[in-house]
Amino acid sequence: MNLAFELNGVSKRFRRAGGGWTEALQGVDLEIRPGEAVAIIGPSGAGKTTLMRLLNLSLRPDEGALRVDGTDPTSLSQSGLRKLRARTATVYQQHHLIPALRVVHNILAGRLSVWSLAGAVLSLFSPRETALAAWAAGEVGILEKLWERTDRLSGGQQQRVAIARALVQNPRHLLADEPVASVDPSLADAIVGLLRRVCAGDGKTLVVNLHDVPLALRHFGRIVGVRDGRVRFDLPVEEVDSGLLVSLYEGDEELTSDVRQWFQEIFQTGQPGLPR
Amino acid sequence: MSAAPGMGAPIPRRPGGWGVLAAWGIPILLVLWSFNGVRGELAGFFTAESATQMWAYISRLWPPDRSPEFLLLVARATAETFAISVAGTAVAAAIAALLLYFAASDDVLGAGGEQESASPGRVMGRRAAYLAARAALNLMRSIPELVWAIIFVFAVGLGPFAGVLALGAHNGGVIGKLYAETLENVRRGPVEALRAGGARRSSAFLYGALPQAWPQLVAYTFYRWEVNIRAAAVLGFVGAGGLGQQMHIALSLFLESRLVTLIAAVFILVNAVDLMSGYLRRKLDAAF
Amino acid sequence: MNQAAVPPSPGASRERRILTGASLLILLGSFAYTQSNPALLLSPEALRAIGSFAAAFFPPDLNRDFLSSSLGPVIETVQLATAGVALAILVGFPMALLAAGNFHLGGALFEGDPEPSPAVRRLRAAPYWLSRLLLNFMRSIPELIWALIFVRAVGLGPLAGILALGVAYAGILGKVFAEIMESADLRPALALRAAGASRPKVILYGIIPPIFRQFLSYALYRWECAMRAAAIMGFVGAGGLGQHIEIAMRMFEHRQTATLILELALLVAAADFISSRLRRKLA
Repeated sequence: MNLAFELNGVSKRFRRAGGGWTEALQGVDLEIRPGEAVAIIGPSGAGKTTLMRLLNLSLRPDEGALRVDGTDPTSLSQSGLRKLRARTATVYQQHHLIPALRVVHNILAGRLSVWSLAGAVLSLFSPRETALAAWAAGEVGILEKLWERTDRLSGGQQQRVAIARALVQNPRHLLADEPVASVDPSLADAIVGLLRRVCAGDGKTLVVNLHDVPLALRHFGRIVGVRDGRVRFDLPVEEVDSGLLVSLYEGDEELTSDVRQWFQEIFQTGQPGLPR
Repeated sequence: MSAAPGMGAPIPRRPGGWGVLAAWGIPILLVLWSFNGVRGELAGFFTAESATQMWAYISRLWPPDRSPEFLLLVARATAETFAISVAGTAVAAAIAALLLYFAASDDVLGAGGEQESASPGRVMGRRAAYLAARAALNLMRSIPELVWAIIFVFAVGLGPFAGVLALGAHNGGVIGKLYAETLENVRRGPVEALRAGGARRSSAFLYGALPQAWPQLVAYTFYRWEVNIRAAAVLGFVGAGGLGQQMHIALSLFLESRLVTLIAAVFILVNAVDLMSGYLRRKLDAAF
Repeated sequence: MNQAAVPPSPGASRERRILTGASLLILLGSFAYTQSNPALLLSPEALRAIGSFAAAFFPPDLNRDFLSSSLGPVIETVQLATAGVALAILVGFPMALLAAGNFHLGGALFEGDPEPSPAVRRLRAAPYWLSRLLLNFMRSIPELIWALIFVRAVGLGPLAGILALGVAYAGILGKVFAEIMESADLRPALALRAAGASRPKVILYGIIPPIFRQFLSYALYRWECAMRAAAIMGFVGAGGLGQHIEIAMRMFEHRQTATLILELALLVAAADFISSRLRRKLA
């Protein structure tokens, strides 16, 4: 059985505005099996988003090898690449929805990999597959908003539209880049739980970037720590200890206050408490 | 010893000085120079002789021709001018939309570019096609509508069709430039997100970029219609039909009494189109 | 996937459907009424005609004598445009003062005043309505038609063009200036009123200074448009490049036409550049 995602010695750099290069990722090795659920944590700027964009084939590695479902994307034709991309759905932190469109269209945009251009045009006038969109909307709990303009929804609701779009795509692998960063903290658990439930039910691979460490430790069995473009650790959650976390986040200015609080807990009790 | 408030402190220098002088002086000089260029004519304008000449002309305009046959002619010419403006704007929008097609196929939207399996040559080719399309549109809008009208009258003969083509050609360039600028300001995120999910370039453009730009594209197209109704009224002067052609005929045959009627028709038509444009623009702006 | 109860789609409202249908009808009708026949355009004769035109335009005539002789019209066009816009501002600005609703029809600037009788109110509103109507008339008639009229009235030459531009653009500028004044922030003006200033002083010191930049910016934009319009007015004999373009086309001197059009394009581009730079500084 092929690995879902396989990275070997992958590096990626970006040109900096004033000249020179930023090394976003260096020498990353990562293997993810189909159906696994993995959380990627690390301070901001660590390269987590770049990693995700490599996994969903928006970016190409500068060094090293990347394979999705055992296939090397550089060997594919245009249509082959599209089909490979269609297997992975991504939920973005900024949603990347289209504000002026109704929710139903944003959700059905997940079907664009399958529809022809003519079909896509027609759907804008008279939505096709509304039952499918309704199902996805129901799964994420926004069924009653199906015909609303997307920009009338709250941030949390829009995030759920983005998830519904990913569901409609019926992917084998689901990636989520900070899906709860701009969401009310009280909803964060519900949304991450939703992602886990949906993927576990269908055997989808799930890879999630999370800034909120307790959230990651609560929901995921495998934790990958990334800092400064390198993988610092890749462990089952039981083996993640305070020392690793401190060294991962040392010096990070943007630690949220509750994580800070949580770290204080570690220093007092000496061990992370983990309700699962 | 108590000094009166403000006494003894140096008065701060007034800011501006030469910069302000230049800012005001240059335009004023420019205006004076411009009027100076026509001072000969201006002088002639203020003579008694020219006043009588103007009065004679004005008296020839009145009373306006109100005969039923002529009014019917005016009504038909008005409808024709209206039709020219609508069809011309539509043709222009279609030409501009073609540019959109090039924008969609080119990675001017930038999304998914990194993982393109297309050869660099093909990517460059697409970019070249887009830039060529924009250059062509720039050329088209540099040529004034009236010149286009003369060209098309020569090509397809007298009549409103030449007017439609002239408006279409000139405005294709104008609208096209605006469409392109609007699109280039669109957020790329949604387009990249859709392409990452396997959508083809055109679909990602359709769902990701176009809806963002749509209200502005519609608004500008309607605005252009308002400009075009005025242009359509005039194009007839070189043979492209409508009220302009009637005006040309009236003037050539020294039938000045017709002029007032025709101008009144232009006035009514322009206002009607302005009202329609505003109304439709508001009503058709809703979301999909 | 289980069937969810799909909430009903609102669908396009009846009004919208009617409007869309009517618009489509008008669109198709317009093409029919203008005898738009693409076959006519794509026929060999038409294509040959366009082709010969295009070929005849290249290369543009860059003969030194011709270029120097075409300098005069270029300068005349610039003068036409500048003088025309200047005249337009001179005429349009006072009219805009009359056409700004908040100066005449009541509203915040009138608060605290005794309620006027209906007769007085109508009297006060008269200049507003009259100037609005006049401005509308001035800008509804295309400047080229104004040029036609003025050429007949004052003879051929740039004077007709300046008058035409002046009248037409006064209409446009007047309306835009009035709208700017109507949407201005009234707080400085209200403060002046509270301090007891008379209404004209309130307008002069409280409303106009803050929006002066907006005026200037729009006037600059119009100047750029005027450059284009000035070049065309020559077609009806009102001076400028247009006159020479028309002559060249009539004499089938296509290469010269091309040069003149090129000069026009450069002129407009230069005006666009200057206007944009200045407007950016004002913004």
